[in-house]
Amino acid sequence: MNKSEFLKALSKQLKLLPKEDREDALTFYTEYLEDYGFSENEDVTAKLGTPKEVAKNMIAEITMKHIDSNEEKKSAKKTATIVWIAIISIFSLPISLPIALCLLIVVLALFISLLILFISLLGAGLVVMTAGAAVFASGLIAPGIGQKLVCFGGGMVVIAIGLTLCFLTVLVYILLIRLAVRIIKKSAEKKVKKA
Amino acid sequence: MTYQLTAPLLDACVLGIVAESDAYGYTLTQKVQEVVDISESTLYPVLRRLQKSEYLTTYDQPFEGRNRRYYSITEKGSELLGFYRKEWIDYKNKIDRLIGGNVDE
Repeated sequence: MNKSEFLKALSKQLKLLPKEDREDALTFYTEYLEDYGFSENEDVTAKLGTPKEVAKNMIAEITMKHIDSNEEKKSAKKTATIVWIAIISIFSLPISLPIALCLLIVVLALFISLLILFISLLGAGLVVMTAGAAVFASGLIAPGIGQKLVCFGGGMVVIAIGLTLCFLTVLVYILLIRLAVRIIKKSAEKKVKKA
Repeated sequence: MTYQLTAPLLDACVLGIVAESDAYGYTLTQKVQEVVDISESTLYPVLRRLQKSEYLTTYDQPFEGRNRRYYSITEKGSELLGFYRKEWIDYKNKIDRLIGGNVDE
């Protein structure tokens, strides 16, 4: 890999860094290559390493700093940083951008559908509870004592079912979110360590 | 190399070189590499970090039809270097005392 190939590949590897960081790094390496005195067709990776290795070091340095400076802040912010790192890591994998984008869209779609499912389940629970309340209330105007008892009992059972549905939905979602956060954290940590 | 350089010590080395005289990427790297086995890809992020934290500042100077980016130390950087020097001497003396080298007392 000669000088210009190296710089081109490095630029590609650093595509997702802020523009200013990327330009500064490219300036440094452009200048370094000139000053070192590589000839036009000489292989530069023997001395400098591959562009991928160079980029990995740079991204590791930047992301490590993020984690350090967030250590004392709220864990929510830390998690957000780690999620961001995870996204950067996905993009820095040697897969093409379209695939990375597809992955991101799939994850986003999954997230949105889970959210909608949550709202509908909660809504369904509320509707069932309302229906139970109506049955219970109809017990007041039911003619015989037998009918009254059936309405009160049935109404309470239906309300309980609605309540359970709501509770279960919230519980399952809390667990799901915790699991997701843990998985993201773990994979991000692994990524940082590897880098 | 038997002993490893920690991040603050590497920062101190870079600041020390630049405090002596402004330097551009290649000479700076050469000077560090004379003493420490370290790659460009490790050194560059250090420079960038010191620059972003305003311990170093850069300026471009034309050279043979292109630019060279010089690093120079800021006042804040000099303060940090002073601190690192003090810490290093203190640490070095303590280690010397333990391993029985030249003791400064």
